[in-house]
Amino acid sequence: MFNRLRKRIFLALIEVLNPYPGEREFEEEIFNFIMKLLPLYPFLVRVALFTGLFFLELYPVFSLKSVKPFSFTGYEKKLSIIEEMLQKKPGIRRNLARAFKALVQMAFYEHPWYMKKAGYSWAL
Amino acid sequence: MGVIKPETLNDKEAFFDFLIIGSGAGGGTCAGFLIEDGLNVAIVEEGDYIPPDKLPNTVGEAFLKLYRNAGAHFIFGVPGIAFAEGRCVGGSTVINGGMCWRTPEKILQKWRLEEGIEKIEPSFMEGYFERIEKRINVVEQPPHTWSRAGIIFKNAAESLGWKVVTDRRNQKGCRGLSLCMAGCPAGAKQSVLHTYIQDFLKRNGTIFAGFRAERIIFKGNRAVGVYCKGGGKELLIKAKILILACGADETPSLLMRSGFKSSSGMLGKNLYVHPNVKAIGVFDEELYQWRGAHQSHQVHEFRDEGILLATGGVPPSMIAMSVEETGRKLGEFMENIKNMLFAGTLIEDTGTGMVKNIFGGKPVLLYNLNDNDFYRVKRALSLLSTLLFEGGAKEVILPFRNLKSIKSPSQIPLIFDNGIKKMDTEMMTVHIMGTAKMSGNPKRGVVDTWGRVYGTENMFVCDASIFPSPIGLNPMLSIMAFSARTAEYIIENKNRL
Repeated sequence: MFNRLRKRIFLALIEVLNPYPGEREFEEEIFNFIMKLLPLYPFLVRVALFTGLFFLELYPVFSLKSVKPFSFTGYEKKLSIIEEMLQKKPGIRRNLARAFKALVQMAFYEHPWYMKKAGYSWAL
Repeated sequence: MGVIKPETLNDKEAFFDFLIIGSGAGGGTCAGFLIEDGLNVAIVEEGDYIPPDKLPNTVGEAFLKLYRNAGAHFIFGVPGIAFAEGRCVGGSTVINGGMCWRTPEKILQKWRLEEGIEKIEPSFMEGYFERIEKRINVVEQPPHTWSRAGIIFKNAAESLGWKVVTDRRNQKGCRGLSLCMAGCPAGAKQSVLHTYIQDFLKRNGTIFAGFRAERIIFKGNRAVGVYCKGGGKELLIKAKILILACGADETPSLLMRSGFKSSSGMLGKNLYVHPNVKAIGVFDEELYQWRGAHQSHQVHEFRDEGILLATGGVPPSMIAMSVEETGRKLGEFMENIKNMLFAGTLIEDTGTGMVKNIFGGKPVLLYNLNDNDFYRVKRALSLLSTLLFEGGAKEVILPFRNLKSIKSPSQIPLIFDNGIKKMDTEMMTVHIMGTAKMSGNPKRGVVDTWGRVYGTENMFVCDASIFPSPIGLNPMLSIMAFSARTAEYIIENKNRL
């Protein structure tokens, strides 16, 4: 159940950070790639990401932005929450959003779909 | 004996005459020199051994296999600094850009005068540089591999009358894939993995890959062995002479968690990081910066100010990680990536940080950028912006949260606005050094003039942690030359150590 919840939040995050919102068929592959990366991160980073994921899920409720947790809100709401966190002054919320953004976007731009689109034939 | 991984380890104890911890620029080179003399040498490496023909061809896979913490390394302070280093056999030489510069004469002279380090005159070091350059095939980057972005960078610098030099890189048949940080799938980069490590294996050297050195065991003032762990297995390796080459974060960390104390009080201190910031020029022309060498030129005009300017072709995933845009806006931004020129600056820093151990011996890096260095970061960005506009950029994207871009040379002075704080600056580095400083004076340094740790008879350090100060250039060749120098000292004195 715990893993299912984690996957749900991550997929919501991947959906909102997807640079090509119309192209959703490989979001699950992005999730799988991130799951391979996570165990290799330092202990403190893993703890921060893990805690941060659940913080993100409850953030809309605590901050009175929505009555629903993050993964249950619509695309536009999720986007506005992430963008607002990124615009904050340097601090925990901004760093957390930046960490998720870096992780997900790196994974997107490593995907063969994008590599082919950009003409990186050696990566295929 | 070849490569021993945890799954192929049968023994719990091993003995060698020489044991090297770490296999990067320092450890790999030292191993190559020692084994050439027919000595009984082993290497312990925390990362995996990946044969040169099996290196990854994407950055994502490289992060998994070649980088420490899968690339998620960080230096804490103001501002926080993203940091990347290798963790594989060959170390950071497998994932770096391959720029090879000899230690500047003024730096060698400074170390000689300020720290009393002997035998580092350029005439003495020349022999080491020559031997290493020959082995790793250091050549000027050939013009047919220059990217269009590299050519624009070079021409703009020349047009401004600045001194611009063609990079000297350790490569053979570079195909200009701009994938140096994934280990070079073309097999052109002549990293330590491709050169000294292969020499080492051909001469029956032993590499314990996938084992982390947990603790050094001392008997009096001699290091007698190293306790290692890997893949759930434990191993004690005893040796007559121990050489630490784990990098400027892990070397002091290992010494500290082994209970070693330097009488100088300098162990883990004196951390220099060569702060890097990027600027992106947006052009009307399509540049496809990744079609060509990762880097072909550097501007050396401002080296006296401790400022280096260079291009840096990196794969899209690394760009996407580091820009402000997100979601659909990032998609739109990345559509224009072919029109962008990515460039960066390196600062020869004057402030220092430190390495500390937490949670039973994991190193944490702490570093605050001082005001002087922050001013030079801004100065470097103003120079880089000048160069990019000279090259025809219509916009320059900056690494500041509150000054994201400028659209004409007349806006360059905005970079010096007092409202732009250190905390608002995106910074990264790939060079750390200085945490086990070399000095002729035991009160000022952790290691002596030959790299031997003060207070021990048989333990040496061969990595960037011995540098007393930053060198203001890519440090790989300097690390290798100093390691070769220490290796020759060990060979000459092996019966007395």
